[in-house]
Amino acid sequence: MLPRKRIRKILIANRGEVALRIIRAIRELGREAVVAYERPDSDAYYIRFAEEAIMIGDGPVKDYLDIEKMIWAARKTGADAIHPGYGFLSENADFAAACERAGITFIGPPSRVIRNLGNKVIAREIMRRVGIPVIPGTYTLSPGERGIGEAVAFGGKTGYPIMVKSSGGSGGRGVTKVLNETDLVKQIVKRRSRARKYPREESIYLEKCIESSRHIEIQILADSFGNIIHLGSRDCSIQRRHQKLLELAPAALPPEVLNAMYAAAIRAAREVDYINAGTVEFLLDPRTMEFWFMAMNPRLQVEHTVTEELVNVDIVRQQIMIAEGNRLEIPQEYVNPVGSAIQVRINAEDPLLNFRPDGGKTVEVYLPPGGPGIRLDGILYQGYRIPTEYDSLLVKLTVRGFNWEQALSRLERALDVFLIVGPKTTIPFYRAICDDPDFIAGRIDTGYIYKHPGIFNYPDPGKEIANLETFLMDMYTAEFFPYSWL
Amino acid sequence: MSIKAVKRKIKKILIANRGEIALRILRTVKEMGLLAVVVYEKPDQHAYYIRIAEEAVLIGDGPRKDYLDIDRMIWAATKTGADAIHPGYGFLAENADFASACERAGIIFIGPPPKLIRNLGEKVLAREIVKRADLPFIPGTYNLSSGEEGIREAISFGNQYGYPIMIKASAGGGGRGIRKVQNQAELANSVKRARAEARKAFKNENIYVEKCIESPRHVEIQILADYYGNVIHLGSRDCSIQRRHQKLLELAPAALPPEVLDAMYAAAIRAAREVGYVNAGTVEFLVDPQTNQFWFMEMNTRLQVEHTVTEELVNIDIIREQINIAEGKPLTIPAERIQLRGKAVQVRINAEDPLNNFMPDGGKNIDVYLPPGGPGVRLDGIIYQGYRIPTEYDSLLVKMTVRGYNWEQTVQRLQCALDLFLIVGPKTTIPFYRAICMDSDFREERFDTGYIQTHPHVLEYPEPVHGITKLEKFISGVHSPVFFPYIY
Repeated sequence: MLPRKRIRKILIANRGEVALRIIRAIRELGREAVVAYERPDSDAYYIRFAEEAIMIGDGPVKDYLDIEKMIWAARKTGADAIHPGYGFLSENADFAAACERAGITFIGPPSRVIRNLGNKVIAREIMRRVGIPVIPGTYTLSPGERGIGEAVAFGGKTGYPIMVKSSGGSGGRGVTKVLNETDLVKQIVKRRSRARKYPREESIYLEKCIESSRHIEIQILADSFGNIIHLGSRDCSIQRRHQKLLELAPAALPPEVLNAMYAAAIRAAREVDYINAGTVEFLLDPRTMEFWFMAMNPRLQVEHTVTEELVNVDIVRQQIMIAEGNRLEIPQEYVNPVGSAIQVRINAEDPLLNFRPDGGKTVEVYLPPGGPGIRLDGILYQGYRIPTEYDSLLVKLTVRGFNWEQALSRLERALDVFLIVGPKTTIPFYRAICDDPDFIAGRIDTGYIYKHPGIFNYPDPGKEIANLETFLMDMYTAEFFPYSWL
Repeated sequence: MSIKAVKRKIKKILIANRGEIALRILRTVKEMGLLAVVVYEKPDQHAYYIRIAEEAVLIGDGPRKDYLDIDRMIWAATKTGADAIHPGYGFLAENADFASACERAGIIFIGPPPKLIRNLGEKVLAREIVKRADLPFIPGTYNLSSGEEGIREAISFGNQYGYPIMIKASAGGGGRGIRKVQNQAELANSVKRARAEARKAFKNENIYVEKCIESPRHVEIQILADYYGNVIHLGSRDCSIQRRHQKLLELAPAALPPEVLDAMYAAAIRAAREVGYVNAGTVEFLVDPQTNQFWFMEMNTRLQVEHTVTEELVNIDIIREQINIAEGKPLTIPAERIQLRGKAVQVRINAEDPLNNFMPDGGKNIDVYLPPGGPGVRLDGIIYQGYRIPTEYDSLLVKMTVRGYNWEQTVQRLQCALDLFLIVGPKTTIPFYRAICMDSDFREERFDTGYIQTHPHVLEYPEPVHGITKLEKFISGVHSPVFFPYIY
């Protein structure tokens, strides 16, 4: 049980859209928000919405990763809690422990839980012991030749392809697929030689590759009294190099499969004494409906939005209330994930050039869609200059509909009129996905992007809205579409 | 009364309206993969939303008169080959002649059949019809006789039921054509003036008298009905917060005991069945806040401005249902999908100065437009940075609808969204709604139609203009470490 306390002031140890997302929840609860920011973010509009903003350094990125500075910033501003968001320090057990030591409430699970779950091999072992199916795999490979021997033996037994993973990796980092024994050995040697620079990659384990699988995750909430509920499922199969692009909820699966996953997720959370919001990730074989535990993420996910839209529960609010030692206010019966929600990450990238980031540009025109079922989580506005120092996420568009068909048509109409002039964006790419018959039919798996090269065959919309002048001219002709090729 | 279904696939819809509701309809038309035609008067020619439609037809210089011109609408529909017309709200939406003209021209009118619009539009006739459905009525008269005879009828009604009483225009609606009378001394004069006003405003001088329920709550039930006798409700809305009978803030569901709501649902469905209602409609009731007794007020034969709160709550697109029903499709929403959990509130953000008796502040440019976002925030508006607000039309800029888990969270979310909602240019109603959010009665969900009069302090906020006098100051504000658009 956590001691009950009322949090008064929360430091947000993050930036961009998720910092704004957290500010909103804090303001709604009537608490004070402090934002820590690096110099390249000093012009960001969202930091004006916090009660206090504190510059932590010139960055880029390194100060957002600096535990000492975050604790210093919290102390200096009198913050009694820290929300880590996602990325940066959010899954860093040392950070959670540093907060604990400093007497600051870390809005997330206890450091011990983060540490156990952060080591994927330990997490797999915990789950395996309580009967939750895990993907066939190895423990952390032994050092030297012995490890290579273990790897080769595993390959011989399960067959190829095989996934080489870092025990400390997360969010798709440190995952490589190998097709045969030669590649496997090469990969292990390569990783070990890099280990001095990236110590997290030092410990390697292997997993059987489940081809054409789906990535399904269950959102859970757990309070410190042992109450655990789930908020339904998400399908995050549409990925590019293990990075999620488009997520939807609920996963289109038979109710008995979903129920089994809910039960496994709650069991997993119970087993690790989980507290706060978390996500249990599974791989699912769409042919057999078999599923395996992959990882449990001890943080808010980028795609928490689709769950929120579906069940009308504010996950960040719940995180704060749990961290204050409150009991869950939402009964499991309230959670009835009907309808359908989809999130797309609109990035300043050019999908036609291998998703090359297109930062440094100014947003000359910003006309986002609205109306029923449209949610926007973004920090940009007309006149905003996209910093080159950070990731290229501009805004997350989440749509909600009565059913899958309606959510899809809503996504389509929202993308059709979503106008961002300045950088290249992923908007036309998502728009092309909306027209793909496999996507419409819900036939998606983690290989989707590679198996559907057709979705990249869209004409460059940059030619249609080359600059502001032509855009404004178009505005005054009778018919105008930002993406006139559609 | 039975009306037979016209089973016909709609391909192209003409939107006989303007502004946010035209855009709202456009969005659904697009989602359904249909073609949209917008008509516009010249003052609307620069509006962004008309570029999103497949076709846009200029129907005249206006202002307003062309949006009210039945012949032009039919002409525009014929010219563009539209096979259906959606009237939106206001303008021609409750005009039975328009619905008949569509019918004659072979165009599907997306709304109830003309005869229903006519019958329900005549308030006294509507009461007669609905009486058969055994609905509770506020004691009232028939249309008053003309001249002195009518005044005598009103006096005798006043003697029987006591004052205050309401004089209402039979063809009125949406809060227009209503006059409250406190005592017999005022009555004769009021009857004359009410009649003159009704003749001028509605071209129909029929008026009637009703007992005045002091500070009731205004609660309405949204219903959907198809051509096959299926009628469902989509829950309730509380629209009590009004200014001179004009709604300002609406929420769903109404805070009433479940048995009262159930009785209202049943009454609304009975009323709709009795009149053979088809399409989306709203049954309005007055509720006594002390006793929870309720009375039928009227039935609106159109989409309401505040349909958004219902949509947010039940996740059903009402306009989509309207189009499906008009195509002769049966309702297919299973009862278990109508979940009335959580709360939703809509505020109408107008270019008006609440501190100056809500005087419209049109003609201004929107210098900065930074709307809120995030969970539970929906925006229905046509403005953008650089938009010039036409002076020719109503002052509605954008409707903001927020949704939450319960009332407490919804009010917190509304307040937070208003705090971060920045419109620089015209004066708006944003700070006024913000003041309402801070009022303890509102936070405890206690309000009735007298709310604005009984809570004058919601109109006592400091002018937010001091914080953001002009653009330069705003920009410098953005670059100071702490910034709030509404500093007080």
